[in-house]
Amino acid sequence: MEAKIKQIIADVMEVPVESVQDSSSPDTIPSWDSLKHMNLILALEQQLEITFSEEQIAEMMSVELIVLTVKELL
Amino acid sequence: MMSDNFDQISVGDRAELEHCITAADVQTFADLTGDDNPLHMDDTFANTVGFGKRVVHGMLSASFFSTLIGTKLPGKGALWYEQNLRFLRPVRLGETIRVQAEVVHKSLSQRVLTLKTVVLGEGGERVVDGEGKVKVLKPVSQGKERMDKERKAVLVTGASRGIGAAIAQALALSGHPVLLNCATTVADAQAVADEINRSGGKAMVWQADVCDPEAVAAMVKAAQAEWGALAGAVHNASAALIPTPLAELRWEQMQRHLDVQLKGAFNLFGSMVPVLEAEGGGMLVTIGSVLTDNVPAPHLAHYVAAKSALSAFTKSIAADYGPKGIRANTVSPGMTQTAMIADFPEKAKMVTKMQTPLRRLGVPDDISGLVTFLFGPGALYITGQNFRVCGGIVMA
Repeated sequence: MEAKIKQIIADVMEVPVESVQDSSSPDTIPSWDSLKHMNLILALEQQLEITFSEEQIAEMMSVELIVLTVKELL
Repeated sequence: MMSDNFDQISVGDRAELEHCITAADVQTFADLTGDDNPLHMDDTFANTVGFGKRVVHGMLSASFFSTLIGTKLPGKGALWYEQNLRFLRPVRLGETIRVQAEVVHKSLSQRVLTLKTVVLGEGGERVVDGEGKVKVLKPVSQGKERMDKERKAVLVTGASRGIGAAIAQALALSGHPVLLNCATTVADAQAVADEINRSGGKAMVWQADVCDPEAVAAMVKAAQAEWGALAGAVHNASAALIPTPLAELRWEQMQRHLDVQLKGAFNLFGSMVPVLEAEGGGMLVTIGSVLTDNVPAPHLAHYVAAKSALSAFTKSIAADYGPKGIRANTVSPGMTQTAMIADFPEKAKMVTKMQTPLRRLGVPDDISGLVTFLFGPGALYITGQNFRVCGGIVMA
């Protein structure tokens, strides 16, 4: 699951998947802007068939937090 | 007589000096002021105007009032700001004059002395007289003067682990002997103290419940007995931080936090203030929390209420005892990686980290650095403040 999430992030952010680390975030991936972040949420919801609450979205500020949040929903 | 002995100067105090005025003095005065009036420089001219021989500049004789005031009465720190003069008869070359000043009035409120000033010729007759006023400057209090080269001891409550232990270690590293207080975890505190002592610092452990005023008073006395002078104290002790919703929160939990944090500070400061007052000042630090700023974290009403009260208490102490040289400040950490948050959900820590502009949680040394600074010479004008050490998650 973690690999799949990282691939989705890499696809949305248009970066090689190897560059997506647990600690990656908008601080480290320059293309991760607010628009891409919104697209990422949509991609995760569509591809993983889950729905995030507003509170969860607010907390998804890094790859490790995204992975943790997704795992909580599955 | 020194200017900072103003209190010891009385009406009637006198000072005197003697000086033989030479031709070289007159020449120097003429060179300095440009006053080469032949009455002072040329015997022939002086004779033609009826003085027989040249005479000394009147202001040269009177200038010795400056010497007397600046070096003897009141001496160092004198600000001579007014003088009237009468030149009663000429002074001749080679004549020894006696310059006298006597205090005729002393203004305590203005720190001003009124002086009767007189120059006597060789025969004892007045050649110059007048009255001068001198303000005696008070030495500006330099806080740094109070900073001893040898650092004084500091008491740290809750010093067996985490932030308290880091504060004790940092203070010891900067030269302060430290008393490490703990309520129960003596072995942990002793391990920290042993490490400090092995590294060349000075540390002792004192087990005491900060809620017990007598135990706290005994602890302060023990530190005095061991090291004499104290620089102050850091109140870091806290009850366990267990998030509890109001519906489940018992008053005993509220009371426990109020007891350890607020009553602990009350007891500690109550014992420390008279000691620091006697020593001319000191520093009291309380460890607060940024949870008291903005929106508190959920289910921590007991902890947040006690920390808020502690911060307010500290400010009041700062206001009340600032005039005695006692400074009091709060240092408020953000989420810091210690045993206290070991049971916090990992996700909460990660979210906090990402919400923090510096993108990490605090470590105990982040806090101890500021506390050590507060006990150092750079913080002598700092009191009543609440410093957030939180990576910017709260910006006041």
